[in-house]
Amino acid sequence: MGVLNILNKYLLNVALGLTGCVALSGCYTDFTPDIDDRPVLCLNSLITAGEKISVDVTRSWVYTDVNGEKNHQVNDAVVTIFANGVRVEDDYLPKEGDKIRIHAFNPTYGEAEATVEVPVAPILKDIECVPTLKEGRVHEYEYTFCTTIDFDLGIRVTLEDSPERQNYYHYGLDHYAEFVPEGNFSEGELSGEESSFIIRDGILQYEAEPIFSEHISEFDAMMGGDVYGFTFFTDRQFSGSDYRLNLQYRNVQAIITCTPDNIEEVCDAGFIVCLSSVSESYYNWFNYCWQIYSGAIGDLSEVGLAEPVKGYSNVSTGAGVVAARSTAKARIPLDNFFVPLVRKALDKLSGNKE
Amino acid sequence: MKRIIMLCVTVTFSMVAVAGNVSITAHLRPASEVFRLLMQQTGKNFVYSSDILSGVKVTVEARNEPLGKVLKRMFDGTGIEFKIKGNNVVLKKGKKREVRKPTPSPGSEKRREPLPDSFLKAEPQMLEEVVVVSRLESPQVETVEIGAGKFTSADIVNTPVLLGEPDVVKTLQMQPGVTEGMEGFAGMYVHGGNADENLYMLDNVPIYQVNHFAGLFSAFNVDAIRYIDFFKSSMPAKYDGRLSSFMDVRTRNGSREGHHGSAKLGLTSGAFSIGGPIGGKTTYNVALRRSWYDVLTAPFIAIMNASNEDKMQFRYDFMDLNAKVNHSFNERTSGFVSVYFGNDELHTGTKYNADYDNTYFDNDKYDLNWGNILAQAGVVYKLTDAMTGEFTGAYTHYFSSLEAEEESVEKQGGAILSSIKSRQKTSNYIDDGIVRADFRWKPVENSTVRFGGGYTLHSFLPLRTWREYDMDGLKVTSRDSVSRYLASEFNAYMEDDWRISPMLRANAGLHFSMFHIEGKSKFGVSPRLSFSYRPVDNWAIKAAYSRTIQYVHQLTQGSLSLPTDQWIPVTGRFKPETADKIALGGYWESPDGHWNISVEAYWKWMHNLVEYRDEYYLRPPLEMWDARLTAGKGTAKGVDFKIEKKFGKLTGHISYSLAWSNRTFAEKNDGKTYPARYDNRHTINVLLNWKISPKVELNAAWTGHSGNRFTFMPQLWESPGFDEDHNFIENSLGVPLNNYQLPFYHRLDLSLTVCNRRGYWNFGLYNAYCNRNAIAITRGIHNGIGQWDKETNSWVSNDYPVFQKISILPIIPSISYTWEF
Repeated sequence: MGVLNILNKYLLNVALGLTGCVALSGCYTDFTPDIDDRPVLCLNSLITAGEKISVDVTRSWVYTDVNGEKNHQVNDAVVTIFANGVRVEDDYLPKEGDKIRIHAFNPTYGEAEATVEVPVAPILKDIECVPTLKEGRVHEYEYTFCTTIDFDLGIRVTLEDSPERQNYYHYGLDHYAEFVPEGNFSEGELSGEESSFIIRDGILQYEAEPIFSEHISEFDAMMGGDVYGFTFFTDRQFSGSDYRLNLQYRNVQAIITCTPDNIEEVCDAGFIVCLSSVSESYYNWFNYCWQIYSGAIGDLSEVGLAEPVKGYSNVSTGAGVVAARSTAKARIPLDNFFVPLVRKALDKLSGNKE
Repeated sequence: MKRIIMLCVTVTFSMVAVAGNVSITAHLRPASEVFRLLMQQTGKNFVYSSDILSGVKVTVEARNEPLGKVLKRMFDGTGIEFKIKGNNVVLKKGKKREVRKPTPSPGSEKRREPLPDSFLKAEPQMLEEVVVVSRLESPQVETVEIGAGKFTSADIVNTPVLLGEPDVVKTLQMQPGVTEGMEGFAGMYVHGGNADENLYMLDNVPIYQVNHFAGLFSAFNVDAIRYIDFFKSSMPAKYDGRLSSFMDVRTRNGSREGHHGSAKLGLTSGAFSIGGPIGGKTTYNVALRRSWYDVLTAPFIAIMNASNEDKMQFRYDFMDLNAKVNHSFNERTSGFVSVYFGNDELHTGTKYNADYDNTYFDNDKYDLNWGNILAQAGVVYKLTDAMTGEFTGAYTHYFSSLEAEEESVEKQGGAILSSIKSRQKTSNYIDDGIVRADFRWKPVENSTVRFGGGYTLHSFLPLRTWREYDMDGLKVTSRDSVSRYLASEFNAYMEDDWRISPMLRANAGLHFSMFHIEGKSKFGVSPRLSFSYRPVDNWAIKAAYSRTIQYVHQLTQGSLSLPTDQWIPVTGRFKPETADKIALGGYWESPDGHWNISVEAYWKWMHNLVEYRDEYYLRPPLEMWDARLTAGKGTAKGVDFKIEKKFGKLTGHISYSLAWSNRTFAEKNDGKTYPARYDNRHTINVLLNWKISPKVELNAAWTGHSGNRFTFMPQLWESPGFDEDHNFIENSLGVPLNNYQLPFYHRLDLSLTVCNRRGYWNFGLYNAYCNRNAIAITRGIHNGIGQWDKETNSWVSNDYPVFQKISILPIIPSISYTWEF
């Protein structure tokens, strides 16, 4: 699918090529517009339940202002935080359901404010995980054995949606293992440690879960916009009821280095399903990013064939995003999958030696 | 005497000429042949009975002279009389009779006085009634309409256009009060309206998809066009369903005098048309046009593919077909059957096959197909001497579909390791079944009543998508829950064009409509009223009021006309769009009829307009009906000036428009009023036709207007940094909509037509002085000359960010040859 994704802009190029046939050569001429360009305050913050609130205050700048691009931090702004209408101190730990309002003031750039509600973490249930072995290889490495397991992974998880409000979600996958080595290892590279567990997450098949495509209009689809990299969705199609996510990963790889004595210990590993309830602003921000870079409207506006797209903001000045999220996590242990494979591989290796 | 009514219409539009003035040389040639040449030049119909021309040969020589003068010379001494009435030239044998003077109308001149009663009695009105004729035949000082015009195929051919592709819409773009929108495209924004507020009718039947090639060309093949009636200010009661304008395209009938046609080869397309008789009472006319893009692009793609592993597939073409058969049943009845098919097809894709080890195969295909099918049958029946009816039954099918297929297969040793296949199909269509009847009744000499009604059964499928994903046998299929919308539309109208006194003429009418959808009915009453006052012969003052109602609208993203632009009916919380318009006009025509001057002012209020709301793209498409759209209002006002020279070696017009247009939407621009995108304050159009010799003609069109409005966002703000992937995004700071006006737009288009014995060459030059007009502003980098820094021993770039104007269409030449037979 990687190749398919490279074709992201393919159709758009064709469409633009059609017009390009007559355009022959697009022409760009430098010019300096005479237009109001007073800077405004910009607030950025991601609020997570149970963590201190951090607010980044900057200012907007004119695109041609090179200095403004490099230095637009506003250090002397007065920032005030309110939780549920009450002013709180910097060390306040927000809770799910809190309404957080952030206000900032600077004598030069004026004031800005934004409000966001910390969402309630979603409820996950009925988690099902099916790994499918593609290939298992093993080779001896000094005094240890290294087993490489290639497999596909299917995960199904049910999300219980709250009917009280419009909900926005973000899906992610993490993994865990006791013997995760330090550092990054490229494909084929071993950790060099006696016992280690390296997982390469593989490629999520975005098309296998239609909910990830709900933000893609036919116009976008026609122009080559695809869902690659986008795992945000809303409950508009299942508001108040359960929704079962179908997540398919291909080319997942586990590289397990162990001795015959500590197979169980090293193979104590698996995946973590992370599903976050996110604020509307958080969803909108990533949706906007998708529209700009993968959607047709961003491409068309870039060449003057559609209205320009302004940056998504929920701040009063139109600059910045104040967002919130709460994450639910569920572990999927896969030791029962890894251990027999590693043991079998080692047995096979021993047999070959004999 | 068996009388065969001969009705001839223009078979081809060959030698470009101004309607009214002709050039011709003939020595003892059959009169019918000479007529054909004259028809080609003027676009006029010649109506006569076959016996009167039997064996008549004429000798005439004329250089750019009025048609009437030439005909008079032609028939001098032959005993044949002629009358030019509007677009018809009626011939009859001369009789000695006492001609009763017609009821004089103010300012009427002999050259265009109504046919005498005795003449009409001798030659029953059927001669002109059995065919549909334009209601705009008379000079505008005589008609009651404001902002209306009739255009023949010659007018269209005489307008220089991009790539030499004659285009109805681009001809209308030269009219005052009409804005072209995006440069080079066949957009039409009339009196501050939107692109979807114009009703395009083909022989009395509306069609939806009116563009080819993303809007670069309109879907009307000029070879098939007889004439067009265009209304933009005072709307006759017959027309409703759109807010801003009505364009009634009437297609050609075949010639009764033989099989004639033309074949054209141009840079972008080829066209072929032929028409002629089938027996004594039937004629046919067929016009076909097809683009060459697939042929032109094939070598380039082959070259690209020769050096790339990825094999690109690309084919685009458009075509349209107009076919019409006319039959004259008897003196009172004629009928026709016609078919129109317009289609755009785009096939793209890539194919990758790693042949060297046969391990990977990848194939992607995208097929887009969109267009219209229209089939209709009509009967024109003369019920009484005073009443004629036109009965039409039609079926139209607008379609748009996208099929995408992506497949990748991974192999090892011949065995398939994995395979992924995803398919997507999107459909969008509208089916209309239409029946209608239109009557023209002349109860008394001074009054013409038009009335009629129709019923349309609409079936809308706005967009339905089916997706299938198959990964190693694991199949996921999804399909939108979008269903068809069935809607019934009924309308009835009546109007009376009444010459109250020699100086005063009025047209009062009412259009009633009902749109039934989702169990609810929406009713509309559209009154129309216009007056014309002629204090002296060559002057007229007119005033008009009209209300228009629109039950469907088109959703478009961007400036291109694409198959994803959906026509949707008014449903849910939205009300029908309406517009109220008042107009006032002053007209002058020179005594010799060569010059016309008009001044027209209008004020238009538009209600319940539907548009995408701000940041609509953040809403999932499935919420389109409500969440993505918003309703608002708009106003437009302005004055259109036009000076037109109709006859002589040099003809054409100069027009100037002063206009304002704005919009107010609760969910756009913070609810504040903002200028419309094509709020062009000043627009000047100059269209000139210079007949250098009988064989050579030069056309020039200069257009200049205040720049389009543009939402220009000069400032950026820092990304929130929620993840590493999106930290680099340039976020524009929002500004009021259409806050910036692009620089003044102007360009000159030229075309030269050179006739030879068999046809004519056309050489075109779009944007002749290559003015780089700005269509938008973007952010860019100025690549300055860098320098070597000795201290750091490194190259220092001198690139810096700048704003840049984007312009797309430079000077573009074109050439075509049309062969006539």
